[in-house]
Amino acid sequence: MTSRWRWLTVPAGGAVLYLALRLGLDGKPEAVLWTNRLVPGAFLTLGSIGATLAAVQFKRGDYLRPAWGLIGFGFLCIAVSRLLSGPHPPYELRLALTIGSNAAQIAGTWLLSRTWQVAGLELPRGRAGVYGTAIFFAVIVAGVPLVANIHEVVATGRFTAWHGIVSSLGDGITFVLLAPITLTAITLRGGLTGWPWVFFAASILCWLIYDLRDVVLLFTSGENPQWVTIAVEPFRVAASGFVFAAGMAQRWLAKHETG
Amino acid sequence: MRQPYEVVRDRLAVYLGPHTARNALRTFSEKTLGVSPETISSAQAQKLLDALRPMLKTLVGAAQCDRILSQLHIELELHS
Repeated sequence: MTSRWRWLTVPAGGAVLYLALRLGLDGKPEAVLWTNRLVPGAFLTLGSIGATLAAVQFKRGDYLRPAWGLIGFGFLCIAVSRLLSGPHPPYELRLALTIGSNAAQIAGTWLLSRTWQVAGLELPRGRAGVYGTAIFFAVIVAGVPLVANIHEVVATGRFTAWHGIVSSLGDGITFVLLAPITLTAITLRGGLTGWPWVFFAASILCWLIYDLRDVVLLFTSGENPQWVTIAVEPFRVAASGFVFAAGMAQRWLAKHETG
Repeated sequence: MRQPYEVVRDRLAVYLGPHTARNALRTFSEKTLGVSPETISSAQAQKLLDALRPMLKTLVGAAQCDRILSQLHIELELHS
């Protein structure tokens, strides 16, 4: 197994670990609370470490250095926010972290998504179809909760709905950027430079599945049913693991022996 | 014996993948040298490497780009 494939064990292992702990601890509310906080928190931190290690591998002035740096910072903000979650979370601080993480993630992902233009790569045909699909899913997964949260702010003024608005907006933009990132991964297929894009596209895809939770919750009765969290949380853990894998693939590439 | 364009193409393919390596070589050869890549000499291939520098620098960073191009210069010199 090459080192690039070995990194796949991080997202897969993370998802399995979460599921094993969550299902194994079922019926112990206190332990479940800590599992929901610590496992995603740890993997979000790992994602931040992977992206930051990729950033520091580049020299000042290299195009991809700020891209990976911003993604690393974004994941750090989400990790802290996750670790601060619980029965009485500090809402103001978590909103600030959500705004910070979304801004950094969008900026970093946007820089990554236009790498093909900066490098002068020629993307494959069928671009319109890929963009169309990405926009469609972005509207479904992020647009629906966004409208619901805006409605809630207008109707009730609930502070927590702002958290949802910022998250949905950030996720929607990131999902649209999945299109150029996937196309770049396809363009670079078979080469070492394609791996960071493959892993990063997989991360956004997992995140998209995780965010389906908000859509499902809108159409399910009752307060946040547990099965929804059990079903989607492994995808957030995997998304973080894939960012770690992408960062490590990028770092490995910059160090790869040329001879 | 391999042609100069094959030396460059094979090395680029490791990083960019075979499809993009071939395309990049064709595009930059026609744009920079005004000839198809199959006909370039070793000296022309050396010039072509300068045209490919921004692409590689963006994808792998300046330090690794310098290492790849230095290696290619050596391979082309040994080839000529």
